[in-house]
Amino acid sequence: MRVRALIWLRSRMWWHGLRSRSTAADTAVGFILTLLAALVSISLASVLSLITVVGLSDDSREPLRIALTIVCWMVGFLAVVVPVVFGLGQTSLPLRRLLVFPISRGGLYRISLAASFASGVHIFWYPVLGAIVIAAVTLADAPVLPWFTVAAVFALCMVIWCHAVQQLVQRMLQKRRVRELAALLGLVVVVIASMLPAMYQERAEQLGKEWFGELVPRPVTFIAGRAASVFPPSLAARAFESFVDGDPGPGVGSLGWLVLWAGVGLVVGGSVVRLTLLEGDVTGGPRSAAKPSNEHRQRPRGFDRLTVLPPEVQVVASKELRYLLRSTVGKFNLVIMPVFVIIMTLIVARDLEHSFLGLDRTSLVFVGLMIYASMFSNNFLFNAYAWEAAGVQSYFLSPVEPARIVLGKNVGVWFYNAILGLEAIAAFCLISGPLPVTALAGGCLAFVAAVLLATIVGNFLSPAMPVPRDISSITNSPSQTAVLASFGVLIINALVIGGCIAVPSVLGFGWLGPLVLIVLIVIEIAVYSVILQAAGRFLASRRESLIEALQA
Amino acid sequence: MNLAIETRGLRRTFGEVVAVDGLDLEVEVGTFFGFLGPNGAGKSTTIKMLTGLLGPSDGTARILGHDVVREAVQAKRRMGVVPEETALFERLTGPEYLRFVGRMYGMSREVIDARSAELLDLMGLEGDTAKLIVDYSHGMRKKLSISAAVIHEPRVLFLDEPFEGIDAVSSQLVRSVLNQLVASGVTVFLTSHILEIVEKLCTHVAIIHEGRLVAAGPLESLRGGGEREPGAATQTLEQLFLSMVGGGRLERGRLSWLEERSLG
Repeated sequence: MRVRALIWLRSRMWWHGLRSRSTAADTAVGFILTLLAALVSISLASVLSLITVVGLSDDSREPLRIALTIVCWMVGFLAVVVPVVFGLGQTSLPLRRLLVFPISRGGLYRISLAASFASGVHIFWYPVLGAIVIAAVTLADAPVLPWFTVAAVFALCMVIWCHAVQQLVQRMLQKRRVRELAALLGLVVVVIASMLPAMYQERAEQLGKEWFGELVPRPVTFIAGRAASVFPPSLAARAFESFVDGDPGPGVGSLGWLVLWAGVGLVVGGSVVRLTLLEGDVTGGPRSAAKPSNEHRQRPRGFDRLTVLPPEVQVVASKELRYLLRSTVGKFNLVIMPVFVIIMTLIVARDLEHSFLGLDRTSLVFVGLMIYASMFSNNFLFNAYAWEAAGVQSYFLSPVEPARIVLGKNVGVWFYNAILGLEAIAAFCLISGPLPVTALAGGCLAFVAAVLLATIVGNFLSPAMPVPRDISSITNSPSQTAVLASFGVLIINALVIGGCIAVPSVLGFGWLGPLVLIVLIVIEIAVYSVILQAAGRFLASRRESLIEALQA
Repeated sequence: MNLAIETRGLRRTFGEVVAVDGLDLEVEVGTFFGFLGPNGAGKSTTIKMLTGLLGPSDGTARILGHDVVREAVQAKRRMGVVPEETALFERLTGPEYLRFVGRMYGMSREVIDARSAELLDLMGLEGDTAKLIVDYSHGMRKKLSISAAVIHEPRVLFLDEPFEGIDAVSSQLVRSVLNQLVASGVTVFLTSHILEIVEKLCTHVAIIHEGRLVAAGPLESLRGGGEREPGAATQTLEQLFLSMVGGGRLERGRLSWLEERSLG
């Protein structure tokens, strides 16, 4: 009865969610994004199936072992790491919603686990695993029943552990500050780790070595290999392999270990849920009171001293900057900007030996980086009210012209952008040494021009397509239509702003680039000034839908 | 007559639904005005229109003579608002939010700092000045919201369910502050489901039902009015309210399956 009620609830929520996507633009963009997700899923399935089939076709067992290890660990990564890291441990069915019903703690755990089997994060990789097995049994004569059995047990094990780890992470991240810090550190580590191979290649080339094993000490790889072999992906790989060999003994043994892993996962997940429920931390009751600290006693008053701005603009700008600096994404950008510049400079500079479009290597890389750096804050401009929640009413209750609110919010983001830009310049100079004046001027002006363009677009896009976001979350994607707008801005940045630098250089008048950019910026400022009042009126006209959307 | 709030034919529709239907209301300066009605009657919609959060579909509304649509800034400068859902910026601390509000009303930093310290002390929030609003409890948010609504000395104060979620001590404090405000000539426009509080505080009340005004005037005359026997005791506000908006629902106020059980 309860299960039927929950299935009914989920299906109604899904249906109403579909019905609420009313605008044609949102529907179209949603369709495109779904198509992209399907494309990624199909690509992954094709590549991993191909690896498996090639491994199976080889007479030697070593390629098959490597192929299956890659495939199973990739599936394990998609099934556990991706949902936990990018979902911050959020499960598809929050237990707090069900606490009011007469359901035992064990029942709550089972319902939550069952719901996670049908969650979107897993539906993404099920077809990948399925395609691999189907390709193996149809194209390379892998044994049908054993392979499907191993795949099913492996999938079961992965979902159970994903759910257990999600519960564990949620429990650890119940305190807001811990959650924000973990999200920040986690993403910094992921970004740096994703760039390590390129960095590593650079280092290996410098040392004249070509292979990973020559740089990493053998004991480390040995211990890592041994440790990895007891995890479910390695067990699944061994089970698949042994059934191909016609020797089911080790396969059955690995399958048994997989079942044991699943059992341990159930115990871990169930225990965490029971503990959490016993302590009452998921009831959504009074928030844990943060201990008084001196963190906010120091009052950043930068804008209060800017007497050229009206007081209401100063205070909105000050509030905006505080929000940016206190948001997880805002902090992340500040941390990652120098890391990003250093890594990208090393990677790009390595492959770019000659001048291009009349620009020397340093100028080209710096201008490109500065244009890219300007886009770090596009989300704050394209979905500017995302974090305000009910607070957005404060703007409309205040005796202030809406245009001044728009200006104040823009000034706050510009100040934040200035910090990002200075960080980028400092990091770049650290790698490449002092910059030529024309390169420095070109990069800075391109940065300003790109930010102004995004500001003009964002002032209309933000009230038109408001999407509420969690300020503690690391994901800060704008509305779907804003995603397309950012693509448009990217194209304009590349064509117009990049062209302002590149065309004079190609014609042999490199010094003219910064001057052309100054003209562009003057035009942008004029356009901004002219339409600021219109942006304010548009904001006021959208206040009802804005409040409704952000309070939801 | 010196009017603080004046509406003429105020109407608001949401698609087919008429939330407020031709509201004519007059509230004199210095009045403690209770605006009552059952759930969904149109109270919050009316307050939102008066404070500029919603645009009226038809009709006009004036605050101290300023049209809330055409002279929105002048009207807002004279009012303070405690919305039903607290409208706070959660990533600011309490003092930071009060400074934000004060500066939006053009107050000097010195005055803001002095008043916010006094307000935070009065509301019992002085120990939480370093805490972000996101970490506040519901009651603390409500008290901060009330502080923000009065920090700039408004001439008209709108309060939408101000006593919801605050403890008895804080409730008494808020009532005391509101009485002090009214004594100093401020007009207070209050909605609350707690009729005892309205009865104790308000000098005038209006009752709205299904978007239409069904009664308005001084509390005493409303309580003593109606079709009553000469010499009969005046009715309470609750009796008045139920007689105006209760309809036939009160007579049906029993659950059939419980009745069957008690009979069995």
